[in-house]
Amino acid sequence: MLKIRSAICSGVLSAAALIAAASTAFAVELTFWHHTYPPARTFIEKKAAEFTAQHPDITIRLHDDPHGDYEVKLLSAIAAGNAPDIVNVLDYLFPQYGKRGILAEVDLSAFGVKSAAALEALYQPKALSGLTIDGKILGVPEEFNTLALFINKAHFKEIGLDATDPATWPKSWNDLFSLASKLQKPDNSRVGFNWVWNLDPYWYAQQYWPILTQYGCEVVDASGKAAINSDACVKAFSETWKVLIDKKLGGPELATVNPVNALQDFSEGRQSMAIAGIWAPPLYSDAVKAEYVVAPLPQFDPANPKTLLNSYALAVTAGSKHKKEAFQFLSFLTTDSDGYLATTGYVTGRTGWADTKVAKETRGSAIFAEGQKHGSFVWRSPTWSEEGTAIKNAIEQFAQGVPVKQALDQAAADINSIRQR
Amino acid sequence: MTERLFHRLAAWSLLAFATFLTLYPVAWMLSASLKSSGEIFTTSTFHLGSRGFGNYLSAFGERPFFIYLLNSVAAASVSVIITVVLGVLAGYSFAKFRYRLAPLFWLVVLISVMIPLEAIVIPLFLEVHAFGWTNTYAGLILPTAFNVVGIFIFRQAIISIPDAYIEAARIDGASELKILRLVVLPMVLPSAVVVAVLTFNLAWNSYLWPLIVTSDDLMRTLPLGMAAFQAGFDTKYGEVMAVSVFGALPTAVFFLMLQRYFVEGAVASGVK
Amino acid sequence: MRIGFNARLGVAGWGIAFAVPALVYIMLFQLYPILFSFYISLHDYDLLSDPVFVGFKHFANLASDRAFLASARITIFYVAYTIGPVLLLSFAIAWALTRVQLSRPYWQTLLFIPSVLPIVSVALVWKLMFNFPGPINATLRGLGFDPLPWLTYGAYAPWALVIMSWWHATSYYMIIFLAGFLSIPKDYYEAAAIDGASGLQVLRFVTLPAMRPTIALVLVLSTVNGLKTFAFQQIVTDGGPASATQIMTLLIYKTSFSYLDMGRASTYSVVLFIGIFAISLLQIWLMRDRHD
Repeated sequence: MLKIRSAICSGVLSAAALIAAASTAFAVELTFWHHTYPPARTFIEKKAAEFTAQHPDITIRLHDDPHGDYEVKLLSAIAAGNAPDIVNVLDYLFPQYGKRGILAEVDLSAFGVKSAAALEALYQPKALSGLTIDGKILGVPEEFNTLALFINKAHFKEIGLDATDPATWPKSWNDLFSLASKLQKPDNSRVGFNWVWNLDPYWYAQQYWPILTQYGCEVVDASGKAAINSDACVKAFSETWKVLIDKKLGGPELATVNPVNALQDFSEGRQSMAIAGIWAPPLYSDAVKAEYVVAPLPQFDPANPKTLLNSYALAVTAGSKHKKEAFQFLSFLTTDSDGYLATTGYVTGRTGWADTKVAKETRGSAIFAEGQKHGSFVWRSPTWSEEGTAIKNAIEQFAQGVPVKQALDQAAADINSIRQR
Repeated sequence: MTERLFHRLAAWSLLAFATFLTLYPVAWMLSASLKSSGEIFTTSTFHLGSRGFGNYLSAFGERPFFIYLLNSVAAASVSVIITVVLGVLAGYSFAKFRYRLAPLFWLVVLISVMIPLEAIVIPLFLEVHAFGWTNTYAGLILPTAFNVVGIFIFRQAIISIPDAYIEAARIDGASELKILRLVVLPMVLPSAVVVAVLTFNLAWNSYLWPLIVTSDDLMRTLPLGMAAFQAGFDTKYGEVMAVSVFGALPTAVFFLMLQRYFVEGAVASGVK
Repeated sequence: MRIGFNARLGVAGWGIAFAVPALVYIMLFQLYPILFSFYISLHDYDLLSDPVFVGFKHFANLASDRAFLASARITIFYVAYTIGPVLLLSFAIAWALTRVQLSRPYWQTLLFIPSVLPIVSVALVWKLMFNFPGPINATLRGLGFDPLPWLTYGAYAPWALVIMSWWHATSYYMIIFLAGFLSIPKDYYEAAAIDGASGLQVLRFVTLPAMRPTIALVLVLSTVNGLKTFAFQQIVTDGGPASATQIMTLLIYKTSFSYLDMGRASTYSVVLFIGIFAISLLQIWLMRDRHD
């Protein structure tokens, strides 16, 4: 049945293609879908115009939709065999897409290199590792991120601390919580620190993954079975996430609801410290933009730091009729590492991104560059979304008072049943 | 007489209380649309905020909401026309004709009311794609345009037309189309108002389908535009509320214009 | 009474011809896709690669599928607690509207407002109102109660959605009830008045029997619409906290588009569809006019 449908589709498509080809000679229009982020739109459109000026026969048509919606639409288009040429793929979805053969292998010549090793050399260590599936590099990072702690220095000043002095920064999670209790206002009009709440599973994962690795907790063990209810994991969640809730320093009730922006409270000065990436400052209100300071992520063992790596990739779809041109544009676009950083706050992960003048002028770039060295990607799984949801549910359970161990047992049972399916 | 007075008193107090509860969230939305983010949760509903129409202006500066509005109006209008035309025809058929297939046809209509869009959206998309309709106005509007409830409402209205009228016309030698036009149509106009309002409103709220089928910013409908706006950076609740108020205006105006006929229409269509 | 004697082929042919455009539309854009969903429910299909036939595997798994069972329970809770109060409130308000004459258009316009607001706006407004430092908790505090974590505790979030649905749905069914009330012939009441019936007796012996078809219609419509609800749960809580408000349509949506398990999602769709169908038939049967 599906075969018949795709036959109909391709009939219609090839007829359309013939007409298009007849009328516009060799012109190529690349379709590019991106999630909604206004600065990125501005930047990509600017680069697209420059690219078209160099290659008058190639134009780029950009479309964006908000996260969640974006994935729904992209999947529908892929299912119908009508995927755009260039897509923007979120970190944990990359294995899901890559494993199913919908992304094209990177065209090395478009990046001016002859081997995969040479391409990797253009990037920081591990930057392409999250985008390599079964030995094939299927995309390049648009963002190659890690996380750090953002501090509102005006709030620190109110409790007599100078946030520009690294000595005042919290080194451990306990430091963080004791600072948070000093920063919190009695009527809760300001909290010292909070985790993200009410968002999608990956938002939660970005915050707990570094903690889990610091505590030696594995979500899934080497044999592929869930280990999220192990002692290490229970300890990790009990000593970090749960503490904040138990001490009434944070928790979902103290967070303003916002479906998309996890940093709303920090951004509007109602929260003094937040974990976020280098992409975050454009989200801040003007008042907070003037006041933020970047500090390293707190650690379980400060001598052996561990952070998160996260790669937001650009890829070309396997069904694209213009792969060569699409990769040429991707190469052109991502080579402008400075432009990306200045306009959008994205770090492309190119070697030496932190050494340029633009990077040096970006607050906290040195701390992010250092953090990238200690990071790892969240666990890779083709059923990540469902597994991540199981852990998100466990967190929301213990935030309501269910014992941590019991909540994680349930998550482990869910993950095992997902993997057995 | 005292009982009657008591009834009226009870009715008035119930209406007053219900209206208060109905309007409170609306008032809250209006006042929030005039406030800055900081003021929304710290000031009372009846405090008018410091932003004036600033939220409206900045929201409109960011997205082409008037184009989204035009798309929504176009989609909703086509939807109303299709529903009224197909609904009158089918309603007439079910109300006044007897044929062997009628029960089967009626079952198909009943079933279609019960299908949630979320359950069929992928097959529907594959189908529409095969028609070559993705990212076209046809694809945006047609697949979800027909509001089947229209058939129910027109059927009820037409049942109450005396058979004698139709028979008399037939004996006079009028063609079936002429009977439809001269006898049936004039009598279901009030019901058409009800169908129009309900269908316009349904189409106005369409979200999942337009999202999947369009991929051109200028083809977005208002709800999609609102979502994309919300996902921009530094979400300001005041602006989101301003856009919400804006999105409510066309349906509210449409209803206010027709509201005089609305209940009369509902009565006439014998929704009972 | 219909045109019974009209067995002329020509007329029946016209009857079919009048129904056909609507039927073609329904078959093309609703019936065919739901049949296709049946077909997919017998397959493993991830949208990206070709479907693999697995027979009734997905149906057999339902009994041990925790997400499905929880969602079924949540869906029934939502519909059960929504339609009762909505029916009572919309019935009472419509009755009150029949008691006032001159001012009726004004009341009616104001009370219908929730139904003309875009559903996204309604959801966003209530989401902000249920916020912990929001206006509803401020009111509770003002009345001397403790504020409640409406959207973040599994014990309260389903109620928050039910409450906002009372607000939203009452206005819609009120109009249908009002139309029903107004179409009751006045002489029924006049006869009751002559017999000296009390207010309650009038309600019991005149109004309720005459309103029976309208009540049946509203009951069926509100149940079907309740079971098809999606936007409120998606926008206000996205099914959380800890899946406490993951109504069936939202589970279907996530299973298709986040988990890429179209086979399972289609199975849920089929079950939901059969559930809606069975409940509607049961209601229609229970509310049938026994004097027919």
